[in-house]
Amino acid sequence: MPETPNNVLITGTDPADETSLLDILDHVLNAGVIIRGNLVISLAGVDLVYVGLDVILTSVETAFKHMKVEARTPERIK
Amino acid sequence: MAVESVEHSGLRCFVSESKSPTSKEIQDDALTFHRVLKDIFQQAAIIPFRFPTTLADRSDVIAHLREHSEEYASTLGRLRDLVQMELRIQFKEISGPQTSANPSGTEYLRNIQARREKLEMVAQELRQLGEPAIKDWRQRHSNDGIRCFALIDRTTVIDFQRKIGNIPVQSEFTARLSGPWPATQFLSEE
Repeated sequence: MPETPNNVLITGTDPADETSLLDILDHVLNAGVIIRGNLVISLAGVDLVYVGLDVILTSVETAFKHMKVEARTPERIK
Repeated sequence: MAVESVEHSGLRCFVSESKSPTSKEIQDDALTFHRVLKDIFQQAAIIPFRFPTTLADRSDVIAHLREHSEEYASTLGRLRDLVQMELRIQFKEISGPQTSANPSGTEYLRNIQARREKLEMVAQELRQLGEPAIKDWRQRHSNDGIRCFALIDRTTVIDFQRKIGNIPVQSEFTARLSGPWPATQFLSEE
């Protein structure tokens, strides 16, 4: 027997709703303007790597967990 | 943390001081960031920065605004009364029907292509039914289906939700409409 069609589910932008929470995190982390700045990731006072700001965004939680992250603008990084 | 506004070149940018947050704090910060965006977005068009975007100090914010003021002002003018609704369409079955137990590479790719075409057809149907409220439309495939973005007038959100919510979707798919969101998929003109 064929299944009956279902309707489009409507969700809002309220973080209390679990589905919306995932959408919200997706939007704040993946949508919007990216400033082409750079981040310097330092460990024990030593600058380790220079990464584009858009690159760090996907792994920022891990980066913040383990390292000190200092923001600098491109002009200041020579 | 307090949210401050920085004004320059006719634009207002909202910022707050940042420290290196812990893993737990970063999710709370992301949600706070969302709440601030939402509050302002309820009153006016906005251009969100991805979270977290960090600049060294206030003068760098002003320098950024100065450099991009024309582009941002033009975008805000274009999107003044518009919002973005997002429609995600997926297959209920994640892997999809296999034509054989061990499909060849060609068979596998054909299967993927067929699924993409089906998703595009559903997206097209929903787009047509959502007309004429839709001012612009963009879509792209994702790992789990297709994501469609409809640009609509802020005043038509409730009607649009009602209209799309009443559309039956074939049983092999799930479709979910979320929003209104800032029109981040329409910041650039195509």
